[in-house]
Amino acid sequence: MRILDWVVLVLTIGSIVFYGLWKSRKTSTVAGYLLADRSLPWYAVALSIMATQASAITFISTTGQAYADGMRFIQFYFGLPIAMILVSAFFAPRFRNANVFTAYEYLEKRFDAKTRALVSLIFLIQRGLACGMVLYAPAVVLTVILGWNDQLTTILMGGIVILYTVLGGIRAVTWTDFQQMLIMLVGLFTAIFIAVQQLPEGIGFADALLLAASAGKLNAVTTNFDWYDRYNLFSGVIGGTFLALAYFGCDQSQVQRYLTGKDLQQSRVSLLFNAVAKIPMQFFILLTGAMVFVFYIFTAPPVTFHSGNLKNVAGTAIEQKHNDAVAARQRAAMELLKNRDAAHQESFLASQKHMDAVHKEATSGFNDTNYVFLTFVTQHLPAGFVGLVIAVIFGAAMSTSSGEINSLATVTMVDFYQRFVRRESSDNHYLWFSRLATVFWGIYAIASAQLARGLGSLVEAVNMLGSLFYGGLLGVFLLAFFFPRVGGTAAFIGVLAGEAAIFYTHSTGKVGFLWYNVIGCGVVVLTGVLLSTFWQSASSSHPPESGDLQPPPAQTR
Amino acid sequence: MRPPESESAPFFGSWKRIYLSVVIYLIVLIAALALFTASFRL
Repeated sequence: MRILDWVVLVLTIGSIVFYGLWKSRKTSTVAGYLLADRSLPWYAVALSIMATQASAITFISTTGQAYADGMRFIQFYFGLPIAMILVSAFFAPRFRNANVFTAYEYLEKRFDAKTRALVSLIFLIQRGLACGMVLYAPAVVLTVILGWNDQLTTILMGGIVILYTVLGGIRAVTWTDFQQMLIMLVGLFTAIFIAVQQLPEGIGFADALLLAASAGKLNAVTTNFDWYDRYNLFSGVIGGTFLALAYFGCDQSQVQRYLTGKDLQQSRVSLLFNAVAKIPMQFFILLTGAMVFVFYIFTAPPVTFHSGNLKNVAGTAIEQKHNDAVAARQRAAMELLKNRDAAHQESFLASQKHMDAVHKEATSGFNDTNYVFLTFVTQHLPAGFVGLVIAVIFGAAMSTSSGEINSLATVTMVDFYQRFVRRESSDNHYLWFSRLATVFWGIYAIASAQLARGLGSLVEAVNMLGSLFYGGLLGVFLLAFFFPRVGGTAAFIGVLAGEAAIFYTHSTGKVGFLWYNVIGCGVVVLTGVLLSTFWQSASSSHPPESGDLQPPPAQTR
Repeated sequence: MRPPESESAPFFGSWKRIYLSVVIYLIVLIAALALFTASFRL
């Protein structure tokens, strides 16, 4: 990186953090620290929701995925607008009316303490591990660019996040998210513009689209149904709805965002903004990856995008095979642009397949998709823009991990400490504990970031991890909302059965991970309903477990 | 806790039209993306 890049990077990150801290300077109560006194406007909440979901992984890994696998990953988001409608109609009003700090607090009001504790624990495990992956992604950046130690990078990134999350609470998190999302949008459109600008003389945007499509990179909608296929129209609409519903409806890192809205209307508008904006945003991120692919047709790509592996192939026969494949593909591309017919489209696709085979041989199966976009940025973007894109990636990582750390601390404080350890204490004491919990989860995230090594495509790893647990979470909330006869014990056993079903399905390796949410949720609901029906008919002399309002023991706030 | 009746009746409340608009938007978006996918086949 050049000096100008460093200036842009430091100024961008520094001003975002400073702005967040300044906006949160008056936070002095637990309600202010955890829910911003439910006072935030819809646009801040909307961009915070978006920024929390769009991590550094989104920019690093999604672009790489489009480069290698095409745009079909966008189908993963087809269920999101449907989920947002359902969250807006059924989840948000219930959480707001119940006046809860966490989604899991609602479960005790509806079921019992053990169900609340179990679901809270599932959230802490799942989100704690994912938080580590989110921090690891920018470490990938600096490993490639500066050769920094990735452990040191995660400590530095995590340290900054801990600083402003501990000091400013959710207000700092939301307002930094807001700024970070704006920077992300600027950076995204800059990257796509420059990728197109860097194409050779005479190759326009329409030509680039033709080449990307001919190589199978613009496959935004695929209709072939296959249980194991991760991304197709059906898994996207059905599995994607369940995953997004679980994420936005049951994951405290998102529920906490829309609980900070001034009123229900502001919360709903912020959710529907995401319903409308998310797919176009992902489209442009994936299109950036496709344009980077076209760029590397005319500018020879490295044998492998992981710079550490380059020395292993330098001067070998595989390097020569790679150079030959690059030249053959370039010739096929030029012929296609000249003739524009199906035969030349076929021969270009064949040259691409040969290129893929050589690349696979060169990388010995190592998945280097996470390094594609950063290699392009650092080697081909002009001074200043590199700093901007790196700031975008850092901002994305910080916005996601700060939201996650904040929500992990909230659940630890509200659902465990305040509920089971210290039922009555001063507001100051709980504020102090919330900050302590934030520090703990920040350090935990840094430590678990080491687990993210060698996971291949990071975005898939994060989504798969979520899918192992989200089915169970969603199922118990559906029981809570729509099955009033189901009681606490039936729901508790239902969650355990749902999780067992998901892990069994995962162990068979025969079903794509997006379906785990559907399977897990179905098993929870079915088990809960069957058990409660059985118990009611078996013990008619005992009053059935009621779905009526069960006020939890008094808690002071 | 049984949800208060006012939350669920009418089914989608006064936001029904907005929700319907989002669904139509999604259908149009998927159709446009399908067209985008198919439009470069020579």
